[in-house]
Amino acid sequence: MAVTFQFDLVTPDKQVLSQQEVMLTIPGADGYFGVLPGHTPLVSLLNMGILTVGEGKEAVRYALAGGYAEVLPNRTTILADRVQCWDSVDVAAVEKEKGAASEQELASREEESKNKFWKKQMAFADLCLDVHRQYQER
Amino acid sequence: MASLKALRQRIRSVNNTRQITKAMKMVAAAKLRRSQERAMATRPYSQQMGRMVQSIASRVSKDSAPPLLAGRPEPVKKVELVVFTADRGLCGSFNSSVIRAVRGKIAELQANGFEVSITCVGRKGNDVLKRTFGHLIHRVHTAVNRGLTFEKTEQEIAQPLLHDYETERFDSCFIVYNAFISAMTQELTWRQIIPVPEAAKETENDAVAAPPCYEPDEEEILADLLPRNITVQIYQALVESDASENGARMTAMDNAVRNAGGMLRRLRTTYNRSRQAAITTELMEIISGSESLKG
Repeated sequence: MAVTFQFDLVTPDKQVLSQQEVMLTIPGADGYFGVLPGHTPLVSLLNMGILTVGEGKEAVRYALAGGYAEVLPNRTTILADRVQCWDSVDVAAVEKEKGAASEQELASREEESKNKFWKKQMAFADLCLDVHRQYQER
Repeated sequence: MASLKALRQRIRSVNNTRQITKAMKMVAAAKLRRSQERAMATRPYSQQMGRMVQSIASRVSKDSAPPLLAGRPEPVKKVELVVFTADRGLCGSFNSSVIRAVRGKIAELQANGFEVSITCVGRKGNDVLKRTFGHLIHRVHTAVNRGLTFEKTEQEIAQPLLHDYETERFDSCFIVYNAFISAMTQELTWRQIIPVPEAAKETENDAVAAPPCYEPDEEEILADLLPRNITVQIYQALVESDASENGARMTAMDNAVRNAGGMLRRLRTTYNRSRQAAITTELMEIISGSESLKG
């Protein structure tokens, strides 16, 4: 049996995953890094990017909007702002969301914090479409 | 004894009340299911977040810790209370228990020489507290539960609060809300959110002894994580409070329906008795009238 570690993926809205896992690829603030069992303790900020759960052909990818990861030798916890699994992307909904976000982005040019928020929403929508494409090409 | 007409009117009005409260109970029950799910779904994130903050906090030296974590060097003088209540009433002691606790806390803090300021989340808390502590309330949020999201909480409640902390409007912040236990029970909860409470910092659960690597570095992570943690706690309080409110309202309305039912039964008995009495009297009169004609 492969060596595994406990992996939890949670967002403010729900616990997305809680399972034994063999490998992760995480979009860290200083670039992507891989996690295997027995990894050295690490706390990292996360960038927007693609989280890969599992190894090889069985790997599942998630669009991840940023957050934090805490890596311990036998346990990894990811606190994500938002995630979207690649097999459940609703293209129409994402396109719509992206349209709404880009409108808001234009409307909020004056306010920096809001503008940044909507820019991030747009980027996340793009990322969702991206992982969706990857899923179809698989 | 009240007249038959008055009794009839009363029965009708009690029956109406019963139907209204019953409808409100149904609405609360439907809302409860959704808000309960949301409260439960939020818990893992805030627990994990709390754990992470603790495990980092326990490894950070006191001197280099940012004010959100360790507090300001000078002693606490100004205390901020964030009070979570409902926007509407008719939910039993839900609002009043929070308000009572806040009153007690304010009296205690003021007696110890602290300056108190209040942020009200929910209309009811503001309505009642402004009568006695109007000068302390400096911000009110209402109708937050409609379309509540994490992002909205962050922008509307957490950011202004953090801004106030940075501009030294207060040195320490508590939140008070009803935590959701079950549909029947809520638990009044006080929690210190700024700075991170001392006791929590010392709990070293399953954290490893070796200091972990930080990416990018400790300070940057804390600078991002701590405000986030405040938002999470506020969001958690909001969803818990929302679920508790619906639970409390459902229970209160259930009691009201039952009371109205009991009242209706008693009124109907009284009504039927007096109707029967009236009929009997009438019959007696007719019989005695015809008897006297015979004679």
